Amino acid sequence: MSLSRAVVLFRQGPLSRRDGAFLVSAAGLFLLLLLYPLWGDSYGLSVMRDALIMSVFALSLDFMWGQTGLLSFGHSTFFGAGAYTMALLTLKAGAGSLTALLAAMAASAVVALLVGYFLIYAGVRREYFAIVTLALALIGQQIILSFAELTGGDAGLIDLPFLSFGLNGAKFTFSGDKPLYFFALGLAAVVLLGLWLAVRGSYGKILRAIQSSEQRAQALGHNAAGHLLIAFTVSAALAGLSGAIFTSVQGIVTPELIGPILATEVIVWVAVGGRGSLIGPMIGCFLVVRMRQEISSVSTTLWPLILGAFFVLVVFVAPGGLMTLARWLGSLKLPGGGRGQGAAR
Amino acid sequence: MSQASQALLSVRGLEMSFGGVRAVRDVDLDLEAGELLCVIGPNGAGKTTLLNLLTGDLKPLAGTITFSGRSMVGRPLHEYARLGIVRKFQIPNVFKEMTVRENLEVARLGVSDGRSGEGSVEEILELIGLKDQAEGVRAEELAHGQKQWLEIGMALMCRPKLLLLDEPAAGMSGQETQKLAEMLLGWRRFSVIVIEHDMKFVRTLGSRTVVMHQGQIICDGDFPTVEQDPLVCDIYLGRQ
Repeated sequence: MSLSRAVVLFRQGPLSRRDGAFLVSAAGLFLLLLLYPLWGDSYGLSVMRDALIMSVFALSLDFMWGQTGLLSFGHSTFFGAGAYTMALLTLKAGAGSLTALLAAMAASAVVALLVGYFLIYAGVRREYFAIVTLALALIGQQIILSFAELTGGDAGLIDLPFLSFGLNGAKFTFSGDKPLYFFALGLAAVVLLGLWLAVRGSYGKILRAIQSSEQRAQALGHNAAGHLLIAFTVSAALAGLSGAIFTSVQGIVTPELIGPILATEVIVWVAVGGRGSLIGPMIGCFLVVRMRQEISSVSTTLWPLILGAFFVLVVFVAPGGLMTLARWLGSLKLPGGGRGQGAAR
Repeated sequence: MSQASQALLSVRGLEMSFGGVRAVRDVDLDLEAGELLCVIGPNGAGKTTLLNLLTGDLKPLAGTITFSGRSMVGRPLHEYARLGIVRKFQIPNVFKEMTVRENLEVARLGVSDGRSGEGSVEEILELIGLKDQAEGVRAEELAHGQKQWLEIGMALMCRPKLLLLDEPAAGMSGQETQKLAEMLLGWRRFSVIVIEHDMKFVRTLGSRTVVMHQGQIICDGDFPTVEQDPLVCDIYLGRQ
């Protein structure tokens, strides 16, 4: 892709009504999250911090599934690849946080690039793509368990160092509830804004066109397979970033971070929130993670049942996710002929 | 050979089979720049298969396709449009969740960096008569004939050298069909291949016509000559 073409694809046009609705929703959400430490206790802050980091994972899947229509059912592979790369480099190789973070993103991206090349250029799509990527998560988890000497096996690796970045000789270490919370908040905001800017222009239109009809897009000169591979790789890199930060914040990495359960959970977050809306999957993630924390504190066995029931309920009430429900509510005419806030189009 | 080297499109010995059925048999075809060619024939004659071979949707079992001096067989699908071969599908194939304008913008981005011809979306909207539906109307909400026009508009956004239209008049009103015929006759900047069953429409065009039957070209000439051909009358057009 030439520089001039990249400029055209990512050029930002005037704000549409839909853009306005997104910005208002995002600003409202982040204002609320910014103020949350004023009343949130230490436990609440740590739950929301984890939810914010996981929301980056949800965003990474939404970029792929929501924009291109290709469901990566084993997206935890990339989350886990990032987490283990981060853990191994910082713990065993003594690498700095920034180096390890970049390496974690690169590791996830390379895995996606290799697997994606063979799948996407071979024409593997729809449920076949989902099934193969699910198998990838199972393989990834097995690899972690098989190389126990390096990865810690079932027990994983513990005592990971805090995130620490140097700038002009000064060193910033993120530890404690509030610094970690605001770090996670900043990360989520930057990723959300970056993805939104990337897809609101011509590039997003091309991805949505490929989702609508890959054959038509190709017949118009779009290298559909190339676009899908790039989207898959970028999505994996973001999943790797969230995995790396999550594991650093937790101080531990375990095989669950690369397995099928997390892969399923992230799909639920995105589907509940509203695939393709970016902000919806973030909200879906906050909602489900918060629900899990609350319900698990009462009963750990109850949670999967309630999650399943909640998912079925959302699918019945709002098949497109909570964001479509919000848009529908927003489009209802209010008494006096006005429209509710949040009407997208 | 000199004819083949001058032609915009040159097809030699094209073969395609599906199982035991030979859908295209030893087809030779030349098309000059700016030429309008109609392909007619009964159902199952191999017309759409020929079109799919010319656009790269199918890879021939044998034969060559040369376009603007380049061999086309084996190239990725998207390169066909970038080199100038653009098609309209038999069943309208538009981006149904996107607006009319977005469909045209995506079409423009496929073959260019999007900077040149900024005004062309407006021109095409005017040409295809969908200016009023450009915004706020999703392509799936359009009538069948309007989808046909939109797809033609998308193809034109790609600034084709060779435009392939598979039954473009299907679902159009008489007035729209007349408008399409006038447009096709007016286009001389690029070549057009039209597959059509509507003989009235083909007669209106009155251009060079190729008749296919059982995968072979059985007649090639001006339409007035073709419609007098005894074999064509027996197989397809019938005798009055």
